[in-house]
Amino acid sequence: MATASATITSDSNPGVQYVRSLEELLSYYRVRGFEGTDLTEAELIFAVALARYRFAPPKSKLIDERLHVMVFGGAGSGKSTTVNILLGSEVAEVNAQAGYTRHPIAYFTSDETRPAVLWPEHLGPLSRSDAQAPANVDEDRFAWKQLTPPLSDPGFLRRHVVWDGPDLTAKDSTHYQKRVIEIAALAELTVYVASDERYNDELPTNFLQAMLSAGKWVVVVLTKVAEHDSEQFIQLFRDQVVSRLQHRERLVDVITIPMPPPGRFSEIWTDAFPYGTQLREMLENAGGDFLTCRRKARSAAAAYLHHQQARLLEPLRIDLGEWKSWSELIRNAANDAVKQYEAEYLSSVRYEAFEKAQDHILSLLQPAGVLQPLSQFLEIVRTPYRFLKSAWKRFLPALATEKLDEERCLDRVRRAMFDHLQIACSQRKHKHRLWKDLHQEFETRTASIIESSYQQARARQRLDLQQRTQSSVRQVLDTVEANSLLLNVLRTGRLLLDVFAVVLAVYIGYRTNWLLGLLLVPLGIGVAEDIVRMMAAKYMARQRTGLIHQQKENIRELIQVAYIDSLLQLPATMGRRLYSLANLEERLLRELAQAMAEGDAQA
Amino acid sequence: MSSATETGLLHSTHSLELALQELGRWLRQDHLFPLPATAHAKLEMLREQLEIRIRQYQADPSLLTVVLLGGTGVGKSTLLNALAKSKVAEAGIVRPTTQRPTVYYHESVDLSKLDPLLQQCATVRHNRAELRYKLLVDTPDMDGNIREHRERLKAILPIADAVLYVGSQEKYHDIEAWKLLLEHRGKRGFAFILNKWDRCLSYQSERTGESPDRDFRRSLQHAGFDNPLVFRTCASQWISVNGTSPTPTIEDDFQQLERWLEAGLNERAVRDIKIRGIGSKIDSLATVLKEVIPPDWSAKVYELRHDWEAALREGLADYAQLLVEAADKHSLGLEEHFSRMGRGDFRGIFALYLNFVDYLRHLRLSPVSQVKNLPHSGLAVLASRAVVTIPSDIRRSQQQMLRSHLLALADRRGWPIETFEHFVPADEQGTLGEMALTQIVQMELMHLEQEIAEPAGQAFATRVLVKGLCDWLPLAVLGFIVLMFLYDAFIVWEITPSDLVGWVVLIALTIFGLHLLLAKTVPIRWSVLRNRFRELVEQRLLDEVAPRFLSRLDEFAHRITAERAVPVEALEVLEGIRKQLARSEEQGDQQSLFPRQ
Repeated sequence: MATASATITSDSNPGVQYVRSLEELLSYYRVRGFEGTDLTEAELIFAVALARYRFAPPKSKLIDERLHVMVFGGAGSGKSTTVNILLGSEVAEVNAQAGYTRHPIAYFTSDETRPAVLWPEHLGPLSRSDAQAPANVDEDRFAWKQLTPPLSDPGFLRRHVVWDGPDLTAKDSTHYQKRVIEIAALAELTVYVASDERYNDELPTNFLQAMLSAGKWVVVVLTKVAEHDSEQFIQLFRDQVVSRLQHRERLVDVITIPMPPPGRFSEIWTDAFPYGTQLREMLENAGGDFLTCRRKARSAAAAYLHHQQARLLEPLRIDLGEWKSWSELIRNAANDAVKQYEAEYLSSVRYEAFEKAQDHILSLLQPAGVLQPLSQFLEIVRTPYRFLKSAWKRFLPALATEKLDEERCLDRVRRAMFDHLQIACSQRKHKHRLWKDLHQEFETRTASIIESSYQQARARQRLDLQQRTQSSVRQVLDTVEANSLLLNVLRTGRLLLDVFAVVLAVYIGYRTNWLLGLLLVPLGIGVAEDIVRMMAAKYMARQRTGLIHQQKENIRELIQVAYIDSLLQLPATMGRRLYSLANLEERLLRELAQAMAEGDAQA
Repeated sequence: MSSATETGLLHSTHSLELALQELGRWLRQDHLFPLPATAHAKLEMLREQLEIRIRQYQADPSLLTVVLLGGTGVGKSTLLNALAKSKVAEAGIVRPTTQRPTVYYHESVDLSKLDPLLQQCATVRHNRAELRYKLLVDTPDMDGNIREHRERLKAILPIADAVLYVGSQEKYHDIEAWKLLLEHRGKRGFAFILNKWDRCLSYQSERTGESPDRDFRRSLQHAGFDNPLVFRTCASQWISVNGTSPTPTIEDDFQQLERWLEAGLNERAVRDIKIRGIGSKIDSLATVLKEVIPPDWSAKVYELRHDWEAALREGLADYAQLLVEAADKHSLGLEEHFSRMGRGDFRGIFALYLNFVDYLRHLRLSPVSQVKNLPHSGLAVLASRAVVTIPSDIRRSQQQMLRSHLLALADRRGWPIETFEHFVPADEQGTLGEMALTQIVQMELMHLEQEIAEPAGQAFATRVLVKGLCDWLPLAVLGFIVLMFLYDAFIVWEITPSDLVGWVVLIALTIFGLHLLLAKTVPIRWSVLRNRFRELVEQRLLDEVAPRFLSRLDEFAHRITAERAVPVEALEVLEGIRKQLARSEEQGDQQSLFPRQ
């Protein structure tokens, strides 16, 4: 046992992982609320607690070494009386006030007296209370009473811990139900107490069913019945209640504890009546020896948890479905936005840096060195042609293409995306809570969240784009400038073109009219320059496509960061949690199997 | 109760019935301001229950329906048997005992006038005059394993005027019964019975804690009953066996309970209870109704109209841009058309020159822009060809964007877009479809053409001047050249090649200069015209398309106002009657059966 308890608390233990995963689910449901589902918080609390005590129990003497017996039932059905009978002494407070007991109390005997060794600090949400206090203290705590012999059967209390707990049916029971559930999960053995009034009530019967399904052995004690009705009463209970239960094999037996004659109520837990001995024997024999009992309890719990898993995950599955369609909606809208940006802006984008680079390349092509005066001369000759061309342009402007404003285009695209998402959420707001929350956030904070992350990312990117443009321009220039052979070939080609144009003009002038020749020289070299300019522009356009592609990727990334990533965190209530719970189902299955294997190996 | 209030109440029930009928019809209608399904169901239920209450009241204003309510085994049936002094209901140790409700009624009560639900119950007649005006109903449990039982109970509860809440030592504040108490308190009178009092007393000295009756009272005070009527009974000891009178062994409040039922609940008390019941029903109906009545929509229209106007101006400007870009693709065809229509007829050399230029240009035109053969419908053809070039997905996405933006604005202003979206035009054809756009482009091109062809004011004067120059200047220059030629040929007797070149350059420069002048003064260039065209198209879109959207706002508001009228009126009637009832409640003395307000 000592080795088992030593390994339990380590984080790598699959049992601990499994409990953590279930707790994650519980905390998600608590934020989300249980409306619209037929799952109750109690079921999940029970599953968490059951997993905890079967696969990762807290370390302490009494948890490690004892079997735990839980006495449960409806208000006023006689739980405390039954506990006293089981203990053979009047220890538990017996009270006529329905729903008096408000927290679980453990009864046991032990030679060990240090509380910290006997008990852990916490049993799930319940904290240990060492001080003696009345049973009606309404707090999330568990109390314990160490009993001293003489007792009618000290042996039973050395092997078991007996728990008395709050009822399940009084009007405030919903708020202390989780305390009962915690101990019910801890116990391997249970005693179900039902009175003549209560034996066929729904709430306690459901709890009884849950105990059987979860692998607890149950002894049924029927109370407050007249002695002569006992037989008939047991039969009624078997016919009406037991016949409809599942996992009946773990129902040990049904017995009655009739009303004692007037004046002998306080003797009912003494040896004057046979009930105590009878009950203790049944419990001792129910699950076999300690180890067998523990092993059976663990495998039954695993089967129960495995069976319950689909049910526990059902609301999450629905939420994840909606969340997936939300993420798809975002992704589609983002794709549309990028496409729109591409069509409206990128298809006709111009880069000033490239235009400047083009001019620079042209100037590089001017002949250098000894030929420089020649090229200067040609420049001067070209002047009238240039003048005429610009005059023509000024008189008859070409098709005015408007300069596109990238920010305006992006704003349009972003607004369209935002509107689309908002409307989609609004249209679905009655379908599921996720959409309702999303829609509410659209009215309050979504815009500001997106705006701030967009502006940040955009500022970063603008800087990045500027650098990228510059470096890409420099790269183009470098290929020309650094390669002197290429540069010289180009320069020579260009010079030859000019020379050819001049020679052609002079030849025509010589053949026809010297005046015409004079007019043709500037025209020729003007046209030659236009040809060179056109070729340079073609070359630059080819270089530019890479940059355009880059810019498109940038916008895609911008929208990813500013929109997809931050919108997937919404709604604040569940977005982020759903993200981390997306693969919970497989995780739980795997961890449960591992926990089970680990437990078997240790046993 | 004074007879004046009595007739007043009976009179007003008629208007109440009418209002409820109207409300019923309204509930079945479709709603523009969406009615949540839960609210709808609740309203329908409350309306029906109120109608039942009123019908009951009208049938017999002094007959009190008293329902026994409690968990299994608390002794409801035993209590009824004890009260009836005979075995009218099954009682025993089998749980749950009572399968279906039992009505215990006086022989003078006409069963057929009772609520149909009560008629379906098991019925037991009696002739005890002291219970003439009470209808005692034993009901199944609400906490047992048989679910149908609680359904039957929940069906019966709404027709109860008063409830006898029966609890036992174990179950006096059990959760299921308590839930029903909390749900129904105030809606009907509640008296409380702690039955099986003997069990509370037995072993009392051997127990700790408070006595159940005191605990019960405290719970009730928590639930709002300041001075609850609690009877501690041990019903089983009051059962008469074989006609012999019972011999009680434990002191309890059973006889006080009997006295209260028989004498305490006199005619006046019964009416008070019934009127309080009706009053609380009206209250809850009014409360739910207030939550779902559509708000006054006139202010909302004003706000959204303001938003929409700005959005439409922006969105339609985008459309105009789209159309201008489409027209850009046919700029050469348009220029050709305008140049022929706009510059008018020239004569002489310049006319020849222009025809030659037109011919050259025409060669450059792509076939889709050629409309020379269609001089009259040329613009219409160009308009439709231009609009066709707008890719349909761009047009659709543009439309989608505008519509989404308008809807989003409405959503931000709290408009119910699930119904309102049907009011925002979505059809491609009607508002911004291809047809509509083609028509707009065509109209505005014609408008533009008219502006070019028929200039006014200064433009007209310039036009006349330029035309005069173009017609006569080339002729004058030609005349000058002819004179120079004659002078060279016949007086100088020598024509040098440079003279020839000079003449050709002179005439060419003249014509070229005139062409530049013409281009500058008569704007047939698309790059000059397109801004004007954009203005015209924008204006047309604002004049024609925007109202198609804006008018839907008014229509929606109008319909919502109409939808609002019915519940507002019903609410007025309900509140009027409520005031009357409040006056008569003040005179009544049955406060202890109801929680404090």
